[in-house]
Amino acid sequence: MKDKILEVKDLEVSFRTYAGDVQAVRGSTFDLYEGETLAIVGESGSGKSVTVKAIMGLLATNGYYKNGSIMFEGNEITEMKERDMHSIRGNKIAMIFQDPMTSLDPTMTVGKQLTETIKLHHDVTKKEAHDRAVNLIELVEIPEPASRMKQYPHQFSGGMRQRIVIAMALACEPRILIADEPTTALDVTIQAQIIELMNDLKEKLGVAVIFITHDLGVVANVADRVAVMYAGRIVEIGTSNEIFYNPYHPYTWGLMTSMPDLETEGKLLAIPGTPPNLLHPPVGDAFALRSEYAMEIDFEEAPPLFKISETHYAATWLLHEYAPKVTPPAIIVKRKERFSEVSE
Amino acid sequence: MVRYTIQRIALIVLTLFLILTINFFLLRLMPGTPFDNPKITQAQKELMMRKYNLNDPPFVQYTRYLKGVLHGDMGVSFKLQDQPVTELILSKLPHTVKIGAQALAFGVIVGIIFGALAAIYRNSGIDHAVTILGVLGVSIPSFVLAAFFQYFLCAKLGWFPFLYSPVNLDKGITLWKSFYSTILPSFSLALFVISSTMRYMRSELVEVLNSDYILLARAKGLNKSQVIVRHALRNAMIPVVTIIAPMAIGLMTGSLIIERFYGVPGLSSLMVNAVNTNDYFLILGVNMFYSLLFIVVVLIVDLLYGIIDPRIRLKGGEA
Amino acid sequence: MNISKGKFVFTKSDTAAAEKLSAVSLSFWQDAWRRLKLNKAAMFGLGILIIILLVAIIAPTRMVNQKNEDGTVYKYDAAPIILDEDGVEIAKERLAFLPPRVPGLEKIGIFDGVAQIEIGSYDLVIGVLPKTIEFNDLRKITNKQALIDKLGIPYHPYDINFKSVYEDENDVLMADIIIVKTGEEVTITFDELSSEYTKYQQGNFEFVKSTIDKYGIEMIKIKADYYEIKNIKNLYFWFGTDKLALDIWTRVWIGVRVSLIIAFASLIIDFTLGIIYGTIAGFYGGRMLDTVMMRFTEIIGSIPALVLMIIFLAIQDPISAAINSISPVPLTVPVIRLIILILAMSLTGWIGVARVVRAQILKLRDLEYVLASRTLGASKARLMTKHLFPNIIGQIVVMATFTIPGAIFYEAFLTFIGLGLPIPMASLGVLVKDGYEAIQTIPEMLLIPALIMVMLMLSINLLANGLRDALDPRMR
Repeated sequence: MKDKILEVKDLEVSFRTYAGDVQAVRGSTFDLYEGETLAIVGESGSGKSVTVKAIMGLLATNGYYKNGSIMFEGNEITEMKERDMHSIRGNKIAMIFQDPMTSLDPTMTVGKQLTETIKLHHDVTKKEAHDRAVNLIELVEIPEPASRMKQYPHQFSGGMRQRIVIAMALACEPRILIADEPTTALDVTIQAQIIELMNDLKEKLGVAVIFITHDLGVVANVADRVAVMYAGRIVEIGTSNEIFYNPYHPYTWGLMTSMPDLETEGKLLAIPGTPPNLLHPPVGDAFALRSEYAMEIDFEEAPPLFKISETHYAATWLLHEYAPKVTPPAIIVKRKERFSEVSE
Repeated sequence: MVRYTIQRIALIVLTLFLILTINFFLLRLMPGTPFDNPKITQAQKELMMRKYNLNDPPFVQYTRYLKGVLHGDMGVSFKLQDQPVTELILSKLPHTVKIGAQALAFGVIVGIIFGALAAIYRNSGIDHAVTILGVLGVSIPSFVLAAFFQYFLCAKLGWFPFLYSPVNLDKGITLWKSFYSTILPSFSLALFVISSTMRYMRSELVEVLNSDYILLARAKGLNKSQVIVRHALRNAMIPVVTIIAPMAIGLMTGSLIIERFYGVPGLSSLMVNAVNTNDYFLILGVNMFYSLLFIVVVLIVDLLYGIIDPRIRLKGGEA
Repeated sequence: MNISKGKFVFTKSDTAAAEKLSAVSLSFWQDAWRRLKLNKAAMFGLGILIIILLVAIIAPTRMVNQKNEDGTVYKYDAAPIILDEDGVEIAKERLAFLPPRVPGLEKIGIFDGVAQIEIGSYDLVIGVLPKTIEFNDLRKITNKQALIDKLGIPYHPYDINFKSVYEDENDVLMADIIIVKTGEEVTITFDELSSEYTKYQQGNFEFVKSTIDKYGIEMIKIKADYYEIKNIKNLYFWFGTDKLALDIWTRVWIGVRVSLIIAFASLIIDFTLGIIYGTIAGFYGGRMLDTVMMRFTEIIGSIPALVLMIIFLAIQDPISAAINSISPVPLTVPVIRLIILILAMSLTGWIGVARVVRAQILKLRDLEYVLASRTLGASKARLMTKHLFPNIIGQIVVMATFTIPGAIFYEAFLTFIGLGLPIPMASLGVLVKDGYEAIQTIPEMLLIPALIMVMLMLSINLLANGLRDALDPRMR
């Protein structure tokens, strides 16, 4: 049984705006285990980015922790002072972002940006830092690392820049790597390379990865476990197989049915409507308005996470004992049939 | 980088040449002659025209002038007792340049500092004060400021001298005293520079601070001041450098008024008089110098730009 | 947890409602206006601007308290014709250089027609002697005694120094003086001390200070009530008059109009030229025409505006002749000068506009929705009007608003160095120039137009700032 290295409980994060408070995260609970990749999926505005920024303590100035806790290595992150966060960021928990074209400082050499991280967290000489940086560049499979050190970001292609960013993140061998949509801005072929690289590094260094994406295809390739977020809440969480082949939340059904696979027949189903306004979030289950399985109780009270298995939970009233039996869409039914094969 | 510089210099020479030619031929259009003084008889006028070869066909005059310029001779001033134009200009130039350069340097540095402070402490008292100063600075014309200064700081309080005095050890005007007398003129010009730079710097830095690489830098564990000094400032300053060139023009026009107010014996008085008296060569000469000054500033700015932004620097040197 | 079973029934989910947009949809301009209104500074600027414009429109039509009393219409560029009690026209000299005077405000001591000036003791005591041969002779320094005998005064001003001049208990104006040679102090009524030819009498001046400069000449600071001195106590000139006896109040507001007209005219020329140029260049972007056009602007642009302008103004006579020949109506000199000024100011402004417009067009040309529109069959013209222009207009409006204060300043600058409008035309630049020349005696002559100019520029700048923020799509 692997160790838990991060525990997030009932996290609530809001932002003060001139129009009122926007409740970006409204009660998320999940854990991260050593060495695993947890994927967080959801639409734009579901709160994925805010959640991980909250873990890093990188909320914007108008953001604040409304409630809940984030435990890492025995420390409560929501209460940590900024200066204490400095020793965690880049060192124990590292983060990479979506757009490699804008993630690097255009006026500083790549080598300097790498050694900066190293020197920040470790007491090393210039030479040692330099050598480590060269090793890192090699690690991310960029040829001629020594000469690359002196080059500037604009002299690298998008895919290579993302590798540099990954190298920078892994420079201090963090325990957790947070990747916020790292492949969204890349071509599909480069995407594949990056994903492969990340998987390799994960194996080599034993780092746990939180991988945010809205692309289910990527999730299938990287994730050990998947958390589905909607309107600031985690609505379903489970292993990769459980989510893909045995989902229970109507939103997850919606996600799965809007993406074709080789066996799809018939029409793709789009989820009607748009995500709710988080300035005035709805009472109850936020997805109810767009779901054809909505019940009266969905509009009155938010469902808690119901246990489906040791690893699989879903927050939907449909799992309550009083709830009527429902038939998921045809595609889902077909998947569930394959679930037993897949998870043997 | 070297090739880039050479290219730029070549372009400059070409431009100057063009300006000279355009200037020269346009001036032919000026009505009257330099000698329209009613006190001079027609015969005397003829004599003068012949003396300065003004009766020759334009193209001949042009080539003669060109040849002269290449030897450093820009003709003589008709109205000012035949003094060579080059000498006249060179004697007045240092004063104009001194005050202008001071204003530019001071203004840009102060502007960058205040603009950066305003961006870092956004929406605080400092930010609001800086914003107000910024708007005021571009709304108060330099001559209003100069008049204001002269009235209050010179006349009423006597803290500063009314007029500028160049260094003259015979008359007891030391380097310090002369410098002191340049403070008000430079500052009157500098306010506009400060305000423009400040506002630009603030908006650039705010935008930079919102960018991904700054977030990444913070995610690396850098604290706020490290992020600002090592990453944000440099990136924000790049676009700020580009506005220095247009500001230089503003300084040139502004200095015309400031020189009047503070009695600076600079290029402006030469120019205004020359225009009003049809003093061809003098006008040409002053114009050439203004152009040269401006172009030099643009060149320096471009080189600076290349130094700060590696993307430009390397593109210039790459094959 | 007690939840009733009845809650677990399906409700009709209103998917139609789900598809409805949750916020009111505003047009681009409505949204911009809404955001502009929130910007307090911009609204403040707008308010000031409106006030200034209103006054500029209404005020000069009737000069306050003064009309030409012989029936002719008062024009701002001529001195007002005012008749005194006897029906005789008041001479211009009496009306010239008057400090501002506003009824009501004068009671609190500002704008009371009083100016602080420095005069020599000779002017205070003796004044201006009639220009006869006799007096010319008496003016000589050797004839000091003869002069004071002639005038019937006890002392020659060069022989005494003033200590103070004040009113005693009986409200009689007294002077404390020191006789230079003996150091003796004498108190004497001002009336006795001064000659009949001095214009300074009891009631029209106030002694402030007497200083003796390094050459031994005594200079006396006094506050002189000009209206009293010139015996026109019944008149009020709100902002005073200038050296040609022109009413400054009227001229200031006419000046505002003129300066704004000039600014707008050069703005329109620059922007029209710039937009047309930029649109053409942008539309043919990347091709020969575009390259040629941009090279041209680079060349023109690398010549400092000042230089171009100098040349332009140096050759203004042939240009005036040209303008005159193409104009359908014969134009007066002031109008021609105005046109020349506007043209001079427009010489290089269009380049910046052209560049921005071209950049926008290049950017928008390849944007997806333009491609979409073209795929649907839209013609080039339709593309330009319906899709490109609305996007550019915002930026153009902001740019235009920002150039107005610069144009106002530019006009003043040109006038100041003698290359702008001539007197007696009125523009803010002319007024500032005149005011500067009188700064020692009547500082208000400079301060008032300068202040109005600053307020005008400030309000427009604030408004422009607000407009830029309101029209910036990124902040929506």
